[in-house]
Amino acid sequence: MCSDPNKVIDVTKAVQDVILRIYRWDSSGTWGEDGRLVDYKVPVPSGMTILDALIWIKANLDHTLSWRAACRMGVCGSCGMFIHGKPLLACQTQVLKLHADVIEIRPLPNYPIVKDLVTDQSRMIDAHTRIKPYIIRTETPPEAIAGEFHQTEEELVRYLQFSYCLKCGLCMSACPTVASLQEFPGPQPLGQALRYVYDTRDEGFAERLQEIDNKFGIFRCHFAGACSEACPKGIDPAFAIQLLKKEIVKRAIMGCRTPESAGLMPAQQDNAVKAPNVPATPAFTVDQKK
Amino acid sequence: MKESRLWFWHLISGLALILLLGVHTVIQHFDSILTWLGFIPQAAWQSGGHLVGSLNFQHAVLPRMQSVSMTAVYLLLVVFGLFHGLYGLRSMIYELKFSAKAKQVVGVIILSIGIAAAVYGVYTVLAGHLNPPLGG
Amino acid sequence: MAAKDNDLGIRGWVYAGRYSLQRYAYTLQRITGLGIILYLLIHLYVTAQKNAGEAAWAGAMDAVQPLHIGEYFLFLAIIIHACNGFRLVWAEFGLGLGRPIKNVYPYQTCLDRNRIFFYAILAVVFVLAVVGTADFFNLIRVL
Ligand code: HEM
Ligand code: HEM
Ligand code: HEM
Ligand code: SF4
Ligand code: FES
Repeated sequence: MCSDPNKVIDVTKAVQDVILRIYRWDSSGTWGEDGRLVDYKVPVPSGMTILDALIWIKANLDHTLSWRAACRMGVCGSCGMFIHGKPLLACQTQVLKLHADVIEIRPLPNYPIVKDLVTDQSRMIDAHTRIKPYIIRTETPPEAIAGEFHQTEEELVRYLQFSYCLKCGLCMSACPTVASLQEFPGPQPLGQALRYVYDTRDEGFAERLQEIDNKFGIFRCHFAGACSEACPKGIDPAFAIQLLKKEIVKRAIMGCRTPESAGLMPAQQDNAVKAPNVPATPAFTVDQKK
Repeated sequence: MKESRLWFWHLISGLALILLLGVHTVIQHFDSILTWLGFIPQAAWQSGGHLVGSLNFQHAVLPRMQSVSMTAVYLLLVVFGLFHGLYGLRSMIYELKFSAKAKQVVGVIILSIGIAAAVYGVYTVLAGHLNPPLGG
Repeated sequence: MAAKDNDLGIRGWVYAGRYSLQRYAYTLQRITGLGIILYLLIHLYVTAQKNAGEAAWAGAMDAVQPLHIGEYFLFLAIIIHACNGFRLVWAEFGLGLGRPIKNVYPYQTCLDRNRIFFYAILAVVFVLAVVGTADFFNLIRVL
């Protein structure tokens, strides 16, 4: 059962037979009401990913097998599955690295199953929408913004780590609270809330707080940390959520002053030396009403 | 009250409980060591049976009831213990799968249990201290 | 189109996959916390008998004597819950988890930075459990 990622693969065997035990279910009841695990024997060369193996099965054994994938390189976040006891990206998981003769593949837990390995992610997307994943300016309305925001490297690194989220939803499958509490936003949306709260350009803390400071909100997280173990991009959502709790303690409970948001670079900087060969700012593409 | 404040006190009461329940647990469970250190008199072990050491009425329980500092520890332990524990219980129940309306009812029930138990607990601790039984 | 419910539900609290020990410390924290609060409610009633004098106290203690071994497990639950809780209080206040970093593969998470704290807690639990066990089963001979 346990797999050691550092264990050396026996490359002397060019191709090894591995059984993929795949969960099948569809709404017309082909596989029974509760679905069924079906074995597929796949000849696996070294380097073959789970996604490659699924494609091989579809081409050679059973063309009715369904899953979702797009980029096959770990950037689109479509191919999340529950592989060998963990939520993983099928395209980022090599079959032989799991060191098992039989590998069980199920749809991601905590999402409704549409068919076979395809799940409906709308729960995450809806919660993500609710936390307003964009920069909110309350003091300076967008039409008053006539330049660039100033942000130092340090200020960038503060939220950069959290901004690489794929919306693959693996973290939601790992989370014990998501497993039972429908109203809980989950690690992905909460992590993204911090990504914007930590952005010096953002002024939306109070607005987002309404979404998360309630009895089914952020405090139903108990730092199990499974989301951070599952995340394929090092977003570390468990970290983001605890930092957001700290921010809530600081600003909403202790009453610390909300830090000032990033200022605009002056539109006309008389004393600034402009680097040569820098093209002028392009004209506005939207009519500027004054 | 805002959820953030309730949760904040859940954690703060947890910290306080380390001290309060720490004292209580050491007294109840490390009583051989406490006797060796001289905090519990040897006489507490002489009656035999299971009411020895920290459970001995005359030599352990009664002196604690009469002690002002132990009474203070128990008062805080009742209040913090109940708040911390019942908030945790409420948190678990809220995470179960059933309607938000029914959860509201559960919230009120837990609050009532908490208030009733706190009143009862504070009363017993104070009554024991102000009016200790003379044994026998 | 119909979709099939696949929520792990309460089963997910107990076991959700091949995660680390830190993940399952959450499960332990729940079980121990639940045990202690249920105990406290009964405990308040039982210990209140001390106010009625020595005979009532002895009567109450005799009544709960068959459950005496349960007290030992409660003791274990308390030290696990308190020690792991101590770790969680800091972590949930966002303290001692490090700072955001540039994420370079292989990724490091706050769990890695918290692990040393976790193992230290396990060590403390172990020491307390040994002392408490010795005391409970009267392995420490007084005098
Ligand atoms: C009839 C010809 C082509 C079609 C139908 C086509 C179609 C596409 C499509 C659908 C995408 C994805 C778009 C997206 O990600 O938003 C794409 C991306 C891309 N194509 Fe093409 N393409 C064609 C020719 C080419 C050629 C000739 C080149 C290079 C010289 C090229 C270079 C790229 C690159 C670099 C991307 C990735 C862009 C990105 O990641 O955003 N394509 N193409
Ligand atoms: C592990 C086993 C435990 C034992 C053997 C134990 C034993 C006792 C005893 C003998 C008393 C009577 C007062 C005294 O002797 O000073 C007492 C009182 C008390 N205990 Fe515990 N206890 C335990 C665990 C706990 C826990 C987990 C809590 C809750 C957080 C707790 C909270 C209290 C409180 C609040 C009182 C005062 C109540 C009163 O005076 O009526 N105890 N305990
Ligand atoms: C001795 C010191 C204690 C500390 C440091 C402590 C700390 C904690 C912490 C940090 C949590 C997790 C909170 C969260 O994840 O949101 C927790 C949960 C909990 N605690 Fe304690 N606690 C202590 C004693 C107690 C006592 C005496 C009780 C019962 C009377 C108790 C009952 C609970 C319950 C029921 C939970 C809920 C478990 C959960 O939500 O997962 N704890 N505690
Ligand atoms: S936080 Fe990580 S695991 Fe969760 S959706 Fe984003 S990339 Fe996926
Ligand atoms: S197919 Fe895009 S992440 Fe796997």
